[in-house]
Amino acid sequence: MDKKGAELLTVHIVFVVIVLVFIAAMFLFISRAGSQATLYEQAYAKKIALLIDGAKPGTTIELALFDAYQLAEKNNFEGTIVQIANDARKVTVRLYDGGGYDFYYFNDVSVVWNIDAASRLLTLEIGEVVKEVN
Amino acid sequence: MNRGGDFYFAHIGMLFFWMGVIGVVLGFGAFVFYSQEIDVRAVEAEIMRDKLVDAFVDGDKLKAGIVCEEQYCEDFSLYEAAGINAGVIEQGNFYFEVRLFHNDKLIGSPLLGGDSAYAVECSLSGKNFPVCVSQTRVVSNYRLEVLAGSNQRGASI
Repeated sequence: MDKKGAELLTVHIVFVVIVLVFIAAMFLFISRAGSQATLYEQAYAKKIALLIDGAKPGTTIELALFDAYQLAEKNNFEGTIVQIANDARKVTVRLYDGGGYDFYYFNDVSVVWNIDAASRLLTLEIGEVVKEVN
Repeated sequence: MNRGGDFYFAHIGMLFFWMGVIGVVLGFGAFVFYSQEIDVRAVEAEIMRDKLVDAFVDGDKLKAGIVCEEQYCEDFSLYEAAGINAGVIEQGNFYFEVRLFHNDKLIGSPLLGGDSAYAVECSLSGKNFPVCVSQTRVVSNYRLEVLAGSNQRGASI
């Protein structure tokens, strides 16, 4: 191959390599930005809070957390996915380290909650708030 | 630079230019899609409104222990009767307004809770204004007007 042909080939190879690097970078960015964990944290926190808001004392609610567990495993998160603070009336959902989403419920009830990791079910037992008698 | 060199460098420049444009557009699209908010304020407002109505009405009559001699009974607490936590309401993301009329005469004063600014903002529409719902119920000679609003968006930790 003459010198002009070699130069042309080099230029085209460099061009193809640059385009491939760009495509790989875009793919990596999109896959990292689109982990959906943040969106699912928000969705689950609001869903749980609304379930509590609409529930009457004596109700037991079971909520499947399959998608949440799947995302938490994908993000190597081993902490508690759902936490409900009765004193603050707050639901917190975490699906990755450093993440989390808070949402408040206004129903004046006590919530006894339990997550069965094997069946991936969240159980909420809604009860009356015990008022202090002064 | 000769004409061949001009073409060569312009070609490379345009390549990087279009890569930049595609990168920005894809990045912006991913950001917009994955940062969207799930809006449940209307559902919250409806739940609160229904709880407030249920605090007063039992079927087709007014519950006992609410009205005493054309005023609210001394031991009547709307928060307790509706089963709503005062602490959460007063945080500033909620608002309610309850008026009870007997033969078109207002009983006591309007019962208010939450952020009073929402009283005006409930009538405004926009993404940052609260979502409010109302209901009027007539039972016996009483007319109950309830307005409930929510502007809770939640927060990432």
